[in-house]
Amino acid sequence: MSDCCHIHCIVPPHMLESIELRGNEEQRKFAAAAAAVAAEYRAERVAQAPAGGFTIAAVNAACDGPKREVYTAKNSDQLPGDLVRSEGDPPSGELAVDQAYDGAGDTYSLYSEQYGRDSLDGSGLKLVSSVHVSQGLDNAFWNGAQMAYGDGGMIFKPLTGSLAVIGHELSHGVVQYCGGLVYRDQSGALNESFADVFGALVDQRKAGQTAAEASWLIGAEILLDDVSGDALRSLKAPGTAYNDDVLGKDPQPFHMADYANTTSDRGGVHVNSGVPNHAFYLLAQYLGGYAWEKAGQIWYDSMQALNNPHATFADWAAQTVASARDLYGVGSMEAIFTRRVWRLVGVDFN
Amino acid sequence: MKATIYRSGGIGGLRIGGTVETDQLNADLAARAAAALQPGTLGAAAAAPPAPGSADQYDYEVTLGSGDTYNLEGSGGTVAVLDELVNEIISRRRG
Ligand SMILES: [Zn+2]
Repeated sequence: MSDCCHIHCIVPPHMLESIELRGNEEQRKFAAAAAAVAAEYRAERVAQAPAGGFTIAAVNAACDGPKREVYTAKNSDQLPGDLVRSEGDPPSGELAVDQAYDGAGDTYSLYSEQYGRDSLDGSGLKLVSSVHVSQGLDNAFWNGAQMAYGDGGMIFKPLTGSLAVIGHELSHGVVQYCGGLVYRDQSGALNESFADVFGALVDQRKAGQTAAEASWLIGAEILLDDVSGDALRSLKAPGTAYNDDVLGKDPQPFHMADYANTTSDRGGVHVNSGVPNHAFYLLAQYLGGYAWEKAGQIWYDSMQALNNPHATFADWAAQTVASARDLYGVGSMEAIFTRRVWRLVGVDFN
Repeated sequence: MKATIYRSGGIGGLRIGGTVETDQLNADLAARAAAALQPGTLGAAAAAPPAPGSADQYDYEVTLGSGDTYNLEGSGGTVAVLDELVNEIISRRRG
């Protein structure tokens, strides 16, 4: 054994990951120093983490309305860039800026009006978006502190063109402030799935669509015309969103029998999310009406209560059943259907 | 010089890439690619992954002619060049 500090050596890596994700500044520094014994770059990650650590947000807090800021990165990688539109400003006239602003507002509305959550952190966190990020960037991402949207190029149109994508990115912030899910393997796929589910719900609520009327597609608006496909993902039929010469076929499973064991994409976080995505879709269909009401409430309460950054699909399934029982009663149809949908997608749990 | 680059993740979750040869690129991109595809540059970029809590940023897997493989996460100047190279690969496949 090396001469490293014993406490550093006895803390297992998964605990260090949790501390890095959820601790206060001092705890995160400890975790970073400990992990640095094995990987020197950890301190850099802590330096990039949002100040104040990650806290589990209060629910049903007073919601004072969104505080939005939209910047342009002017096709550079420097974030956030130059401020273009602040809360209450009239439309800028620039499409990507106004889409990012409006989409952040629609997402804020879902979380505040439906679930009583005041922004991503439950305490009115400013919603910062940057558009025109990098050059030809076929991506949108959440960097731990803000949203970033590329203009697309080879695969996508400008990413702000999809409200579900905007809701998806902001929902990664909600996951972060619910205590986080480590972005790898099953916990990472749950993080992705929550973002897809609530991205879809933002879209459906804006359009006033019931579960039966909705497309359940993510990113339908942003595929370039020469890409063969309907969208990035389908919660209704995972694995069928696209089939393209260059991109290949949508690899998402809808059942655990087809779970992808892979090292790319952090253990297939965007692939295996198909399983919990489809479970939510099935629940919304069983319950009927607007998916953001009962099904969304069960999923939202589950994330708020989960408290397990390394949760597996089975952990999450058990939490959703517990939340459904808390909300609607032990023998309720809501609780029974929640248990049933996990069985249908092959997730076993106690 | 020759390198194999695969990009995965991002909101699209796509794994896409292939082999690039710098002498088949235009002079400007070839120069930036030659600078990016160095062990020291890739090692430094690999040392700066995204912050905890972040999501949908790309992962890159770069294998140089030597056979050494580098796994990179996050953003920055080096990965911006890798993106350009992946886009070049996609563009050629699209014909
Ligand atoms: Zn995502």
